[in-house]
Amino acid sequence: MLRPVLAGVTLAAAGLALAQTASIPDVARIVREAERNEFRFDDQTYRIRIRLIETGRVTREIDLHVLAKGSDKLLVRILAPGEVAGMAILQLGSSTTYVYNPEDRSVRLVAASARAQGFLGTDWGAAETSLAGISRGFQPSLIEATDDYYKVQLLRTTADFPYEKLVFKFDRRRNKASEVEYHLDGVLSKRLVRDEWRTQHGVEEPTRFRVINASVDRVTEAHISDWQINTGLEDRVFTKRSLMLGE
Amino acid sequence: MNVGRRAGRRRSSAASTGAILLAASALAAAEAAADGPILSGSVATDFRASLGGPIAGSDWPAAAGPEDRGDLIWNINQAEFRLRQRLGPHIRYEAHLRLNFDGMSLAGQSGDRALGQLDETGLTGPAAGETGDRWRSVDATLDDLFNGWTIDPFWVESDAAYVEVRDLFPGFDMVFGRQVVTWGASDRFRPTNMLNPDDLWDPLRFGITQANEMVRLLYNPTGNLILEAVVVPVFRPARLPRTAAATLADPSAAPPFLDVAPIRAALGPRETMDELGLLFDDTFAFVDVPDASLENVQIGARATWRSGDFDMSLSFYRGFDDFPRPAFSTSNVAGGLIDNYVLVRYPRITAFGFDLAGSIGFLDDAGFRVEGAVIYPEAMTMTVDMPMFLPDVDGRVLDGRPYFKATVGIDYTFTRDIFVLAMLVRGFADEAGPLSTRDYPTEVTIGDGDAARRIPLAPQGLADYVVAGADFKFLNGKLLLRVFGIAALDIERFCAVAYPLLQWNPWGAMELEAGGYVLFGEPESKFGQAAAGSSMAFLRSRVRF
Repeated sequence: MLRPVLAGVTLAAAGLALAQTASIPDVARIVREAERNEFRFDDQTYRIRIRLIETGRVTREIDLHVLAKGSDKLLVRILAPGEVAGMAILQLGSSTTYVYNPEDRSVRLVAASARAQGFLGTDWGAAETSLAGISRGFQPSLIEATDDYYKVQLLRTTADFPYEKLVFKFDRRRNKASEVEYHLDGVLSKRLVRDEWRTQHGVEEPTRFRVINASVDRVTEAHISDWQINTGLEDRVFTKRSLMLGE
Repeated sequence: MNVGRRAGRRRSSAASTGAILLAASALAAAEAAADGPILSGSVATDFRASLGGPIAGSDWPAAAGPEDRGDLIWNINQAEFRLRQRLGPHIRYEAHLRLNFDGMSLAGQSGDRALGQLDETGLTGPAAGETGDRWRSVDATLDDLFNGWTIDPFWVESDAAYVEVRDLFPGFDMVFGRQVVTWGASDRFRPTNMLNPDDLWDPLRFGITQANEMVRLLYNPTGNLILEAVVVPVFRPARLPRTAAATLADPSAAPPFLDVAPIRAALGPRETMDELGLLFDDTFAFVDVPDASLENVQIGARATWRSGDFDMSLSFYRGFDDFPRPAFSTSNVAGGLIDNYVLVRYPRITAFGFDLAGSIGFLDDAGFRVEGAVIYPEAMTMTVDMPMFLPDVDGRVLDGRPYFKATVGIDYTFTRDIFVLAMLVRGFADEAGPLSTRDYPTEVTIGDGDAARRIPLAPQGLADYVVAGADFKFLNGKLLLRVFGIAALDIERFCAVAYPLLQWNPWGAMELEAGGYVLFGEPESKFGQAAAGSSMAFLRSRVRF
């Protein structure tokens, strides 16, 4: 009598375990999905107005023209303020960044140590532009799953990335990361929140990015406008050669 | 036949109409693809006051400069305009103009900087110093007050006036016209950057070059490999600081020979002239610029590529050193006064360079840059002709042996508000080797016994420097404190420059800067010599649009 009961319990437990396994999402798949959906279009161009808000007051505004292609090509042209207007930043993948300086028309390779730093006094850094590259060199783990989102932790292993830990929230309805936490030296450094979603070519994309500094009352807010997608941007735009020509 | 002619005319007319329509549609397409013109620029004002001459040891304040400490010595006001536009996928142009107004044009001057002095004998040349009778100091003529060029002189500079043709065939670009092409991976001190002449007119903008007319070809055959060739048809010399004459045309200075023997041979007769009571009066310096000929066309070629996490390049240049060397001097003696004539010219050079940049993993990803060039100069001699004395004195000013210039630098961003860099530099732009400054004597003795005199010699050869700087940002980047310095690694002729700067940028677009440019060193050292100019304090503002 006992044996059939034990067998039944064992079977039931196994079935429960199987059912649980089936409901636990594959974290690697989430990470891949989050990475892929960072760039859902072949290319895009837009303008960004970055506003630095300190203790509730706007203290700096920066205007950028951004061109992006795929997940690994990004060109940022600085339009304002005047003291840095004309500079351009070319990012190729996660580890190669060049800066064009119009004063002496030089092209400078940016040291990796500078990549974690904010952009022109803001908390907007090259690392915040996307989650591109997170499927390699990180150890992912799922730390929360709800009907609305998955929360995934990424611990840096071999990635050439300035932060040691990322935690991102993957919006299940929009199929895109909506929040990212950046941890450095064991503490939360800043938090990226994406909102003001707008439907573009049938998918929802955020048009506002807020980087909230975790240690001081400072928010860097970026608004996207003049957004154009799939305009056929040429690869040559994203080359050191173009930068050398001052384009 | 007529019908046929008419038909032919109709066909011709139709063909013309078609061609016009085609051209119009091509133009319309080009216009449709064109970007709007982008106009940018700035307005700037720069005031500088002298802090006296170089600070030599405890001799502060030294007075090597002609001006007194606290005198306003510089006021340049600039209006700058830059226009850029892309006219379709293949054509882009850029035009740049900078108007400079000299605010010091009719400022009252004293000493050497005055036009002259008026006394009972009439107008004399520049006096050695104040006489105490200030009304006698002459700064201008009455006619000058009618002349706009004298009252409000200005000059125009241009960094760009070029047309760029992209993808003439895939990956191949051409740029024609006036432009700046910067080679090298280092910051400011770039030994491989030779295509554009240096611009040393403003000592606070070291490392800047002047635009030059050239043809630049770029080809990206594959991946990260970029091949570049540049042709500069006409040589353009470096723009020198106002104080350059102190090195190149100072009649009382020792000739810049590499060997001591001809220096002694040239200085001996000068001692005799002194004993005879002859005085140096005027010096006239002339420049022999390379002819605009085919053999003097400058060429450069460079290959850059990326390997792993490193950027690297190899380069070649054949042309001229843009710093002149004295080639000939003579003098004319009349009425107890000596007029001196100096001719300078530009040595031909060939250079092979390399650079490498990347990050150092074990130093927390600090950036590093290494750049060097081996330079093969032509040998150059200088002849000193002294009509009262025979024979002429000849000596080497460049011995023709190759020499090596290099910069090794490291930079690190500690936080978003603290950035530091340090460099070791062998050879500034105006220096030539192969010998080091340490290999040359600092002085030469003329005469014997009690009559012996020690004459100081200007530094020669390549010197080694350490360059270090740090940026500290406050108030979230609105206030920048930059501490920057250069020191010569030469115990015997130690000299240094300190260049602290405070920049306030409260509302973006506008900068207010105050700072100092302070020279330390004995008069025979690089930064202590008269040619280095004066220490100064500055206050400047700039608004950009």
